[in-house]
Amino acid sequence: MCNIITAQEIKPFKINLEFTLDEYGNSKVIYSCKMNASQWDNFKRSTGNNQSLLKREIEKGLPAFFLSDFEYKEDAMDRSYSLSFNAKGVATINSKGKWVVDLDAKNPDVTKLSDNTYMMITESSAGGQLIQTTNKLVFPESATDIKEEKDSFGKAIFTFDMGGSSGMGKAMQYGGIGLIVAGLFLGWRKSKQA
Amino acid sequence: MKKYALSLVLIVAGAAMIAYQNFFSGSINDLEVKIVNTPLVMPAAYKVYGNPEAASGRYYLFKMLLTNNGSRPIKNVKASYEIPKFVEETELDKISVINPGQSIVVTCYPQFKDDIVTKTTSSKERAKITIASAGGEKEEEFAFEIRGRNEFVYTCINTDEIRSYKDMYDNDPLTACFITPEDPIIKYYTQQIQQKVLKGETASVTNDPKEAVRFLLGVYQATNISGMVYSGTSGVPSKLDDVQSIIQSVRLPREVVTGNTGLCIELSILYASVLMNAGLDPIIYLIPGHAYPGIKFQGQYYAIEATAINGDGLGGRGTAEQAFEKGMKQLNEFIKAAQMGDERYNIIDVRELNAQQIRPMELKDDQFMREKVEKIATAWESGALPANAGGTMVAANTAGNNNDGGGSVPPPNPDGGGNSGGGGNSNMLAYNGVVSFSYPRGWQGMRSPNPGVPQLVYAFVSPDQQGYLQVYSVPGAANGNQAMQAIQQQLYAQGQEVQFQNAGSNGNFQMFQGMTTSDYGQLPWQAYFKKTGSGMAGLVVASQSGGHNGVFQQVLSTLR
Repeated sequence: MCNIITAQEIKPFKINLEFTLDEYGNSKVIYSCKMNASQWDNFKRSTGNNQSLLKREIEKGLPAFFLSDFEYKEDAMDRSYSLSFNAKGVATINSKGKWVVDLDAKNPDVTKLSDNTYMMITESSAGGQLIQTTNKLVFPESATDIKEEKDSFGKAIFTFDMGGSSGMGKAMQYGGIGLIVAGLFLGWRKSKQA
Repeated sequence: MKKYALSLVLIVAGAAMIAYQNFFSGSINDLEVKIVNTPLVMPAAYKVYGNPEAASGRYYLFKMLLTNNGSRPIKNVKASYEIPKFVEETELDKISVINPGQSIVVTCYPQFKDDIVTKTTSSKERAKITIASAGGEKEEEFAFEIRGRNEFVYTCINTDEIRSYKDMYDNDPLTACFITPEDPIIKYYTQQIQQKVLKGETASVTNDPKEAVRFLLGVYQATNISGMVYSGTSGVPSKLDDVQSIIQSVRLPREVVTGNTGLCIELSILYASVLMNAGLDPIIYLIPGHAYPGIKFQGQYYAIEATAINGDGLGGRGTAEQAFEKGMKQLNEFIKAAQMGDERYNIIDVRELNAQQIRPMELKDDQFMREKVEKIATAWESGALPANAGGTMVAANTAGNNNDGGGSVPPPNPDGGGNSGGGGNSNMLAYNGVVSFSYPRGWQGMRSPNPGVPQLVYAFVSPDQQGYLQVYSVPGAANGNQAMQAIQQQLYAQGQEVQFQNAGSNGNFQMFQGMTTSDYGQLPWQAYFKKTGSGMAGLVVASQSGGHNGVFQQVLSTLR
């Protein structure tokens, strides 16, 4: 709409949300934003020194995960803050044995930043304010065959492969293979001797 | 053969280790379960609890974190739950595998049956959760309360976490669950109002605010002539687990109609149900200790004081016109308080909440209640509303340029300034804020349209989108030049360059002329600034097409 002195350019409130997945399907999440002077004033007025309010809002906004280890960092000189936390259960394994991350969006514009890093920008509005969120998703190094697909509701998901056994499990696996190889080798030697 | 015995033993042992690791599931006892649950369920909101999309999924019954602390994958995990008497055993999720160290979150949005809304008293219930896998089965449970269908719990936030008034009323959006436009009894009641009180109406199909206001008056008239009285119901502070909240007993709209009595919030809910059923856009205004209903029509807000029916024991009844006048006066006070940032002044926009999937309960038809409505409605014939009632009231509340007058008002917004009301003549409406002036009817107003420019508190745009009026407030500025410089600086950050020059003064106003250059081209404008208690405030007029001069002259002649 209108701007007189102000030929219209609505600058959105920008938020960065970075999910870094680990090999267990959990994620370290960093929520950060930088504000202009009036936005910073409003933010400080509404949260004051009570940053637990941010935690409550984030928990409300992400009901599908279990969140823990919240840490708040603020740079008042730069009018910015970041809130980091751990989210459990971000990725799951489907019946085909593929890992799945739900993007909770239909037809998002996903960009590939590197082999293991993807980004999408979403826009929403709250209280008359346009909000632009830059979502970055970093997959573990061991993730392979990363693909963007759709679930049965038409929502976008990422599927990928990832080795899933624990150290003990791997020891059992490799130990078993080792024993079979040793048994075969021993049998082969005995047959040679004969 | 004996000489191969050792090698055979090694091969079999190796195969057994691989098979154990890959084909046998880990034990269910290695699965750590952590449950977070809601302390209570309000039956009226059962559709919200059952819908993961409602209010972004925040109203779940419980969520459960399953972590595999063992060394082997736990396979084919099935999670199910049951709430005896309310929800039969239902599968929640089927998880093909949980790897060692992996965590899975399972969230429960319970599918209560429609008959949960017949529950009238509160009870303590248990949810039983079963987690089964190839490696065994384990059970968990937790207790919670299911309240009566009329009970509204204002907040479910832990007492320690409560910080503000807003937190104490965190469940306000669930009020929409009590608004039942599809209830067959309310549908019938609405039809009776349309037939007998309004003698026909076109509020939802015309663009005429007079018809919408006439409908609002018609609902009041119906409650008034049927002898409905104001009366209280219980609202008691209660403690539930870690939550402490006021629990209000709210009679459903059908109960208010057939009981012929209601509290302010109950009357507001009844109005909202009827208005919604008639295709209008209902609003409930919430203020400390009170609530009153209204509508949003073509971007303008209207209100009526539903409790003006009082009752003979409470000092007599107000007419529909008096109720509307009082409602509009309250609405002006509401706007002022909301603009001051008072978070206790809030609205319930029913259609907006419905869009967030916060939906009303399902209610069945009832012959007894239908007959009761019919009986009540027989008295309405004698009190039908005159056909011009809405027109008279809209005119009365939009005429006269005064601060206390009613009039259509724009949406409340704590960030904005001013409100628009009656104009000096029928084609103009008044804006009263940091500056006052009349603007043409039909121009659309918007509070704080550009969050990046906090000094811009209100803006109007002409129907052709070419003419603009903008109201600025610049706290701390000592004169017009300082105000202009502050705005210039703010816009520079948005990539817009402002050039201006002093154009003299007119009365209390300092005048400026200027040009703004941006990616959208150049826009010439004129600004008029005056001193206020806290700085400077002013009006800027501009036209993209170079027209609207006649309109601007009219506006500027009323600028105060």
